[in-house]
Amino acid sequence: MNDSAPAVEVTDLRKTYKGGNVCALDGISFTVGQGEIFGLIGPNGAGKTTLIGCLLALLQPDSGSVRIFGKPADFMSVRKETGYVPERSDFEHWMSGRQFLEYHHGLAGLNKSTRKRDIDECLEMVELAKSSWDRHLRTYSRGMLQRLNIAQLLIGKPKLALLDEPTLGLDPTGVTVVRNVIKNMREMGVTAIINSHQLDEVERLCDRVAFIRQGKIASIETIKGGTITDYILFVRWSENQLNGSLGSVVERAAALSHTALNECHHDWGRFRVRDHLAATELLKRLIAEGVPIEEAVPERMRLEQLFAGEQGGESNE
Amino acid sequence: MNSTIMKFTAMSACLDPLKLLYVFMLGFVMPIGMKVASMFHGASDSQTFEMLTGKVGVAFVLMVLCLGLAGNSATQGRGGEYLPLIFTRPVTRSEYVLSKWLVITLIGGTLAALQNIIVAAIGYSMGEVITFSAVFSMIVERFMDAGLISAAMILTMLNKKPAFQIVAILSFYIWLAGQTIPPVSVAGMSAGGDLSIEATKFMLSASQYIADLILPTVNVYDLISTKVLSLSPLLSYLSAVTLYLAFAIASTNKREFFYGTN
Repeated sequence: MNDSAPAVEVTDLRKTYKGGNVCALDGISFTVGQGEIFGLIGPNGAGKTTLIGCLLALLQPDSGSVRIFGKPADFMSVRKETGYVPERSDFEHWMSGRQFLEYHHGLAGLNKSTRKRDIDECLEMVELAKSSWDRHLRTYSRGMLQRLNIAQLLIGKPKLALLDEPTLGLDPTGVTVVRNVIKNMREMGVTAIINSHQLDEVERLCDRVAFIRQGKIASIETIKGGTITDYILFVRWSENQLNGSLGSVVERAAALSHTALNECHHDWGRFRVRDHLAATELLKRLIAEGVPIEEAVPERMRLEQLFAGEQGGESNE
Repeated sequence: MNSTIMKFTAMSACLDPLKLLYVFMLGFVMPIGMKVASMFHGASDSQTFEMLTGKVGVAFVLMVLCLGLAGNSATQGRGGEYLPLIFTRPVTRSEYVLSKWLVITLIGGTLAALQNIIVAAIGYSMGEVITFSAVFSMIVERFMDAGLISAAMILTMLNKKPAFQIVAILSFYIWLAGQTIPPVSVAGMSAGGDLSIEATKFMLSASQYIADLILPTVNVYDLISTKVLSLSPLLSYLSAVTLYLAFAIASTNKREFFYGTN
């Protein structure tokens, strides 16, 4: 593993299906640092799962590059450091939970002498009832299989974990287990990329989130304390003399202060600001332009709002 | 070769009760029953018996054994191994193909050889003259059959291109028809008609041609008992196995194993 290289470096990735007729990824670029927990959100069919397929070198991109810890994704040394939880997995029904993990421990090329201990640890970590460890997988429920799927990720001791809908089919206890597993991975310095529709989980667990739409990254947000670090500044102003030119005045103030104007009405507006400095700058500009400000209230932004906003943008196109 | 893949493929073959029942009935109960019956009644071995104890028998046993053992569940949902997950592990695709091939060959070859030995032992105990070299040749031939047929089947199962699969299955049926035509055609000829004879001749020669092309036979007994060694059947066999495995590896390497991909 190259210690200085980013965990994941994706450059101008393109992928099409059906002879180039369906564009799944359209020039995606991003970097994930080592030890970072990175989320992927976006509507169905946005290209998130295809992106994971390319990161795992299971799909061959049309162009662009994927480097994991500084090496091409299809290197065997990269596979030793990568783990994957598929969204739709399949299991050999004749196997027991323990045998399934034995199989993956062997495939991961890990030391046989630690196999039993590693398997027990992983099964305990995902809190799979001990009585089920030696039962055939055909008797497992959907939630139990998903826990086993997570255990399969852990058994390979990955440095980069790719989780595609990890909480799918899990009950609330199972969701807590996944949350704890990801927290443990963070403590151990494991990098994780999580594709999920559970926005609250993504908010809770991720350091950054990429919103993907129509094969492109629409935005990448940094998250702190469960909310996006960018926030909305709600500004109310009194009836003023600028009626005719209010819109253009507010727009100019926003542009000069490098903030985004989300909504503008005759007596209030909403702006997306990066930090307090940007908010102060915006207010100064508004006052300078003659907008009589009455109050300014910061509103923390949630992923759900971003998702709804981006979806709205999509439908307006 | 990957010992983990080999171990779990063997376990998968041995732990499926339906597969075991099929293999037991077709590989042992039927041919052994027929042998015992023919010995008691003083009759010669039937064409069906010859088929079940030869290459066709190996093909039938392997056909069932291969199901679920190599690439049956490339993307989703049939209770088989999940290839996208396996190929995210540090396992090369050639390792996967060769490990599967070796273990399926060993299982198929062992079952067929065991069946041949039991049948030969029954014949011997009832007075048939059987030499050691004949038994040895049979055993080697069954392993060779298993190696060739399993390579062809793995290629067919891993290469999901519909056109390829249709051609492969059609070739297999034509080959199979060639092995089963003689008794049918004899019955047909007794009913009379030149058309039947011509059609049978054409079918037999086509089948022979395809058999030589796709499943060349090596007569091990002839090979070891002859004074002038001819290597061409052996080379033909080895090149067929090598080609099947090389194509299986190439098509597995090229194929995208992921949701929605074929």
